[in-house]
Amino acid sequence: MNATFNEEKEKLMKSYLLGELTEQDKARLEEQFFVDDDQFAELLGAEDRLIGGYLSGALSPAEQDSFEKYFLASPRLRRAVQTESLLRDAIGARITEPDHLVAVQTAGRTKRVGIFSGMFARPVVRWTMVMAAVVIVIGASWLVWRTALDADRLRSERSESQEKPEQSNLNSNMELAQPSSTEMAVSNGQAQNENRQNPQKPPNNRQTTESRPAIVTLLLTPHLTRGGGETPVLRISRSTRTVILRVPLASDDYKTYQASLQTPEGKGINQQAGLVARRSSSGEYVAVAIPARNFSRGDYILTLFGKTPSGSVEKVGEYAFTALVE
Amino acid sequence: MKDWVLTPDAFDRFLAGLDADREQAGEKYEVLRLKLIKYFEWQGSPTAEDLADETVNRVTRKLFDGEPIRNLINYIFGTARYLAHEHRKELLHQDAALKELPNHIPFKTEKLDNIRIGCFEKCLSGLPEADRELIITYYSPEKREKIDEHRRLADKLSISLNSMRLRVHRIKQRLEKCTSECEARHARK
Repeated sequence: MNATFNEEKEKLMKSYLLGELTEQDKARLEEQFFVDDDQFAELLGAEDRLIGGYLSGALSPAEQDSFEKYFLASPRLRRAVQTESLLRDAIGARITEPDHLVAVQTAGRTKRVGIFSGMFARPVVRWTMVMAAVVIVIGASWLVWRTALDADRLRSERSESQEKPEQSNLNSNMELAQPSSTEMAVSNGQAQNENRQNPQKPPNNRQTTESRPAIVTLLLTPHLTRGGGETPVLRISRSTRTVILRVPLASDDYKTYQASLQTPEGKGINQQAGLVARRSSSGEYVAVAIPARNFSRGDYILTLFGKTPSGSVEKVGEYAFTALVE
Repeated sequence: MKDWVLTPDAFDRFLAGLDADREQAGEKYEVLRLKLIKYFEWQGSPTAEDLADETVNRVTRKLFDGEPIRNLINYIFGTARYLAHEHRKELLHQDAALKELPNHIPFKTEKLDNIRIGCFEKCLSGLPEADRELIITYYSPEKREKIDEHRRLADKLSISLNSMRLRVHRIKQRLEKCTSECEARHARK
């Protein structure tokens, strides 16, 4: 009975700290801890256990997600987590390089990043990274296979009928591909969560792969801003479901990135936050996945912002491109 | 209201409202301030300490002006809730403005993080020995997240588990404040 009561209480306190209580329950709990010092101290204990659970990877995927979205959204609470992480380091806890930064760091760069040094030693994250690596390898193999298949099909179609050249002549900056779970995951917080809970299997059935939505990736380069150089062209066909805007980074100076897509007149098309840097053979980049239906024929400007650990937002760059929708 | 300055007299009246015994009132005030700070932190406020102090200021002024307050703690809680609500509205406006006008101050993660780590270590070693020992033991790998271990530690110190938690959090607040101030000094250099 007592154990159940304590478990319920712990659950309630955890829910409060993760912003999951109704306004009514929240107000009730707050009133209790204002009046009763013991209730308050217990809440402090629950906060300790929650932070500790996050740093040690003991939270469930859902709790971890809520923690990152709600608890870490507060600059002060982020600092509290950072302090605890530093405390753990100071008392001899194992220090490991943050996994998500390992993915984008250049060889030999071994900076410690405070809050992010201890917390990414979590087994959950490590396991996820291993799974992501497996998905990438399988996905890449599948892409090669798929591209070869498309090329074969294109060749046979060409020989059978004289198609218009532009139908097969893709912009040199673009590549037509099927969705990659890892690309999608990095571009969208919700997708990240879904990916964590339901790791997508690589397609192994031709029928399935052909029914999946196509992704068009457009590489944006820093110098191609308004008024400078040739503007890249994004070609969207009827089968395109998702557009990935890939923004190369000179260096990864930020914990997360935000992207805002607008028309030159300032009309907001899409906004995303919580994007993280990725590394490819050509360097570090941020990928922004946007539904193809958001686009119509015309010019667009993607603005990338970096979020500092203190919570301030800085502009990284503006990238202009033209969309051509078939 | 904003121009009103907290005077020693007014603050004394506030303390007297917490407890007739001055020493007890001081201790209660310490806990109350920590509660207010944590309350605003849990609401996601980046300026929790300022809001905690503003809450105390507003309540103190009411007391000083002779307004009858039947239950001081409840009144403080009500004031804090009101301020949190106002602050949330203010933050929404700030966020909207920030989207239009991003901050262009150059920032290097590596530099700031190294400074923070250095400052933290300096502040930790600058704590009184008893506080440093307590916080290190509280967060030691064999004790952290284990209520039973924390209870044993509290027994050893002859204080209750909850008193120990409050003490640890006050030390942590001091440590964070010291680290932030140290970082700010470096940033100005």
